[in-house]
Amino acid sequence: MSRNIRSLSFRKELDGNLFDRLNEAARQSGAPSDEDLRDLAEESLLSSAITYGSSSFYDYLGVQNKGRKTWPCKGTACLISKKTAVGYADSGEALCVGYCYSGGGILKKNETGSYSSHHNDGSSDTQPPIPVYSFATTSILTGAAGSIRELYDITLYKSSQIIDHLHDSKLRGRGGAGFPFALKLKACAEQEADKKYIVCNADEGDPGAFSDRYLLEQQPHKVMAGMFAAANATGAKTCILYIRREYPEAISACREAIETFNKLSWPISNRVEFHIVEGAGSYVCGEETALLNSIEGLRPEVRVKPPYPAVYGLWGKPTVVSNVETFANISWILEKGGNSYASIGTDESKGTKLISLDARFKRPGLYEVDFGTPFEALVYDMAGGFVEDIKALQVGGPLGGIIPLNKIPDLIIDFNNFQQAGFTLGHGGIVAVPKDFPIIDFMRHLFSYMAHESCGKCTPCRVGTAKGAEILAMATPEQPADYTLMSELLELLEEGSLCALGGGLPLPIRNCFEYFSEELKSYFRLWEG
Amino acid sequence: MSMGKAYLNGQSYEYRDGEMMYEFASRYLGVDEIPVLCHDPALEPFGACRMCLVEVAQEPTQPGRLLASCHTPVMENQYIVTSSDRLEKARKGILELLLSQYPKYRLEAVEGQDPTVFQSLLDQYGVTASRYPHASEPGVSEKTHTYIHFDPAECIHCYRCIRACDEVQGEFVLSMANRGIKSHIIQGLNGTFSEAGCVSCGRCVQTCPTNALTDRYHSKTRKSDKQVKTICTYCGVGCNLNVKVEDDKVVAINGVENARANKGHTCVKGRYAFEFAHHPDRLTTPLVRKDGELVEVNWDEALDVIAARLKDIKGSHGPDAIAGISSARCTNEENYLMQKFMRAVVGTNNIDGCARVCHAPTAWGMQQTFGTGAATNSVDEIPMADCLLVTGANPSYAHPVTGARLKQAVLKGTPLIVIDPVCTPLAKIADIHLQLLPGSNIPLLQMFSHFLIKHGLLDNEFIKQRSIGFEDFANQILLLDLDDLENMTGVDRKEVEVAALIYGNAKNAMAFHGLGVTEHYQGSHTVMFLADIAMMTGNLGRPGTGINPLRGQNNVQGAADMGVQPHQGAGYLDVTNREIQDLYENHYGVKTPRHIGLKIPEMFGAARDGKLKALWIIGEDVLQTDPNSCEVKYSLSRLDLLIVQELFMTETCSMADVILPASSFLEKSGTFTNSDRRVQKVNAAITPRPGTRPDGQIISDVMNRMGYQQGDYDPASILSEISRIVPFFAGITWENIDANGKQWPVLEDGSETPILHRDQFKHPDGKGRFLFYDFEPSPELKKNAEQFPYILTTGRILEHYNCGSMTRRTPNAELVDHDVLLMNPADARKEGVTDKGRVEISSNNGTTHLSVKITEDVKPGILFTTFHFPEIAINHLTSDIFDQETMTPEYKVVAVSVKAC
Repeated sequence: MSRNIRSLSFRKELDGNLFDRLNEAARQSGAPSDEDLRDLAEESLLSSAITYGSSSFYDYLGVQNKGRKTWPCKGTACLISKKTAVGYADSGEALCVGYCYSGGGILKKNETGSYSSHHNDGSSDTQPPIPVYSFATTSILTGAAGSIRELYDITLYKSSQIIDHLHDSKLRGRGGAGFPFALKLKACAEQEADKKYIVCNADEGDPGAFSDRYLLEQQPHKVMAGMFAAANATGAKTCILYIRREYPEAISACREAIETFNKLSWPISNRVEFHIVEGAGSYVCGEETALLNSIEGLRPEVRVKPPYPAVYGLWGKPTVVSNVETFANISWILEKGGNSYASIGTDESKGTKLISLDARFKRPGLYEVDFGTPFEALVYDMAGGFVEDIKALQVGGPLGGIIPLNKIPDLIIDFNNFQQAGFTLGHGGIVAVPKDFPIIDFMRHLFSYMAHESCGKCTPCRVGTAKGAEILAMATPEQPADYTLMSELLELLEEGSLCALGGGLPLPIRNCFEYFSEELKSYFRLWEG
Repeated sequence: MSMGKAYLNGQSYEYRDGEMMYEFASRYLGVDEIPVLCHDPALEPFGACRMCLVEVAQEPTQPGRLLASCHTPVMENQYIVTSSDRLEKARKGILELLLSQYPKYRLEAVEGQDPTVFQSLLDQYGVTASRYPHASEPGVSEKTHTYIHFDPAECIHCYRCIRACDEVQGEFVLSMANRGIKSHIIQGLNGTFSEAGCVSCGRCVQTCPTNALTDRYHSKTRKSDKQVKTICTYCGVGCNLNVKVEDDKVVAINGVENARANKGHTCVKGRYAFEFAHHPDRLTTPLVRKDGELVEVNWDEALDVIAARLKDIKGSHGPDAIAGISSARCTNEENYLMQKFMRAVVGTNNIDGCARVCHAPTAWGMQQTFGTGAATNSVDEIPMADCLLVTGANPSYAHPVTGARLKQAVLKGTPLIVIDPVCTPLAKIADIHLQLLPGSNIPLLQMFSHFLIKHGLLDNEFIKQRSIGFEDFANQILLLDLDDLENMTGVDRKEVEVAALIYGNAKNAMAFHGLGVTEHYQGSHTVMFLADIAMMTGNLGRPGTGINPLRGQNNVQGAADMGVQPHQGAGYLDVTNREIQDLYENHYGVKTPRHIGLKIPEMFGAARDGKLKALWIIGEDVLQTDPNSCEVKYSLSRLDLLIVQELFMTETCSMADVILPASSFLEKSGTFTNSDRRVQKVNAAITPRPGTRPDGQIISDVMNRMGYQQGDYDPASILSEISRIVPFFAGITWENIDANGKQWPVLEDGSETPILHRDQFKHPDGKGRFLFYDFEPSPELKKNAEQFPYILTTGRILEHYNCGSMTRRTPNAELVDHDVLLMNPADARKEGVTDKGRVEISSNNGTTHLSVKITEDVKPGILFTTFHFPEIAINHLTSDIFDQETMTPEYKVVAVSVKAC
């Protein structure tokens, strides 16, 4: 897990760190040159194997990216919407720019090396705003932010009680795992260390979810105030927003927000420093330890746990890593009190939840709903159902469950409810699968996506996702695939993978087998599905 | 260490706090209980292969979760199952996945080789085919390196090579490129090992569980008749080696995994530079000069000639007309015998060794300050230090395994201060590099002391209780003018101040030094200043502290311990002391000489003056390695009898009257004492090459011929004899030296001493001595600087060892085949020299030619070269200035001029 590289990286910390320097080196040409890699190796006291190893990991840094200027979105929603932008020369692919509500997303780089995201409707590039609907009792996340100064003041005023309030609020991480946030904060606060960090994981690149994009672009101070509170609670002085490259407008909005923050007078702006680290195109960086490695300039391969980031995080220092939406809840909790927050939602899931609905819904966009809202009400009443015949919903990103329409009435918006039903709420991104979209193709997409995004560290995920993708690609009714082998592979992925990327893939695949057996039967032999 | 209980396959066992399940199970059920591919106990848990899955439950009846045992800590009352049908299926599944990316024709061991770890596991789990679509591993073969070869076909992505290069050697030559199934191992920018800065330590090969990484000897899988554990002979680290032997030939060497001295690691010399042993150039017949020609003779004749002529010379000129130079390459037992021969058989104290040209100032200086001239601590303690100070040493090249350990600590954040005129690999990662002018160690350490005193970074209690003379010392230091000190050293005082603050504020500061300290006009005094700094800050007697000389040769510590020096006999006892003389006489059973003998430079002087008639040199090419070679040559030419014991014909051999073919370290047994005072067992891996004899046997043969009853060379009995006279060997026996050796002093009961001076120093009053010395610039510069404006300094390179007679006869010569002169770009411009161009360099004593490497690693005005190739004869240039106290030559400062040619 290279403590050595980590320690060398810490010598520079956030000042010209290798990862930032690689991004800079690639800004114009698309990938650092060999000379850049040699120079950066010397500068960072490392080696060209390390600089090359790191840069070649990423979609937007590897040599394959050289000369590319456009990256049409190949995320699940765009793929299904059949609106994938086409006709661009030298194009790569972006794995979700967050235009799922319109389809046809595209990431572009202009002459100065800055990026922008667009929706392409076949003829022109536009930037349709995210439609936002709130059906929540209180619009904690989508409501107007009010005074910026007050947002931070609130957290400052109650800094000694922050952990207590968060404990009372029962706030759970919104990244997908739903871990109680106060516990994370407490574990970090209890550590004695010369440095601590608060890291906002704004790289949860679940295709289908654009809630982070919304919060970062339109509510950056809510997010930052939450980080600020976490810093006050733990004694951290440095807050880092790791934001995906696919959200360039989010990056600039947060840049501006940091400038605003820095102008706030004592005792706010002197408390912490905010930094932005731009991602470089890798889904696995949404896994917290991979993300930390990425900031450090290491290859973003998943670390073994324990030690957990709260104890041994960024540069080996105690670190709170959490999701954008989690942080965005905190200022409200501290203003209104943990108990008020806990009064919203269900027993296990408190507060409100952002749900992203893709363009197959009648009213696509971002929804804020209370936990406990019946799923059916969301899908049919609030969103108005679908624009075409739909056979299933994938909820919670590419590792989320595939829910057949007839299961919708059984579900409510609640982490545990979804899990008990054999699905997952995850990040709340919902992609509708049209009736005429073959489920085998959907499975092929998921497997290839994971094979593309696997960090490659553990055997089941590195080899297993690729082999699974290959088996599915070759499966035809004439030459059906070996179902036994596939189910053994799923077991191995689930039980043997180092992280949730490989470990999570079997869930949607098994859902497909369970609910779409008729459709899949001919593609597999030795199967009595 | 706190303990808890957990269950392994239903049985309750105690686990250690923080212990991983794999270690826990290995400890109780054996290392093969849980299969692993990516795990290597020498590396951090990584969790890549997933072979080590175990079933874990909180209740015996619950179905377990599968967890990777290599990185999951054991918790109280857990039920861990290490084998079950479910695990068998999962492990087979992992192997099957790996097999789908692995060549189908390499499931079994290559003929004549042992199976790899992966092949063994395939066999054990009966996995012979994969149902998955088969593909080849990405990546390209790299077979351009002299030793190390990479073939991606067998790579199973365990990352062990990458991690070994990072976590053990600290070079980062290897990494993974791309991601997922497209990921593959790279060297540098997907280039070659050499381009990537590989130091050829071979640790990656040793740890690789397949044949993706191999070497030219197939060291890992090479089948052999036997494996013999012995100690490396290339430096003072004392690496433990496993030597593979087939048909009485050394076929491969691996590091011994659990050895405390090296933890499985070795350098390119230890692991790969062994072919010299079987080189056709080996001397295999004694040679005697007859009518000016060296003529092959049999052993009896050669030994008779020696005995007769020595007797003759002794008879006509007295015993002091005879001198011996013993070898720090030889065992303790052999060194003991050689000094015994000189003292008890010839009757002279004219015995010296190569410590004279390296660490004699350390022994002398530390004896003055502490009372004992040996490393106070052990390299094992490096991770416990909060600050490291490396002065005048480049352990990355000269003591590579210690260098790697130092680097590991520094990479992980331990502050490092380097004092060296050259920007060494360690200096590149140091917090502070004090790049001083060669020869200015004393004013630099005076400045260092000044700031320690000025900032009150003193351990006053330690100073008061455990030392004398500090007040005078401090007063003298404070009188010095910092401007002067700055000018003399060429180092900014602020940098020295920062260094002193780091060192002085560290809880435990550990100092290492090398020949850049000792091989100077004031070498001994420099050692004492280093010792003073440690004393005034109380950095002695605890783990992670002390003054630790890095010994250049495998047994330079041992040779001195055994009495290979003219003023002290075995065990450092004073040969002029009446009581000691009685002790020795009683021990040897004969009268012993009463006055101090000649040091090596004095031997040459005496030969020149016609007073020394016979010189017996064991394993040292003085004509290449001693300074001012022309003078040495003249001196040797004046001898009546020059006996040289060697592996190969050397420059010195060419002047000998008798040449005796000796056996190499691979061919004999005994003990070596490493830099840490660790006495370790050397075991003969092969029989002495035909025609050769172990040095110890040769000495005892001559002893017998000269009328002294000495049995055949037998390490066990000689060691027992040594333990009766050397006080700190009292409890050492051949039988009780365990796998890791013993660190002296070894008490009667066999217990060892890892740390010296815990409570008191070795002086009679138990107190350390502060002694102040004024700086005196080297006469070499005073005399010659005007005419010869550059300062030349010298050192080793990684790939070669000293005069190169061994390493040049191995494939290491393919890695590096010539010495290079380092020159600053500004000087190169001034002199019109281009990179790789040749220059003539001249000193007051001679001239030589070298090719140049232009680099910022040396400051303007400073030149650096290595000295491993006889053709450059660098010692034609070196001066006849010596350390004032010990006559160690000042190799490190030569005034030279440079001319492009």
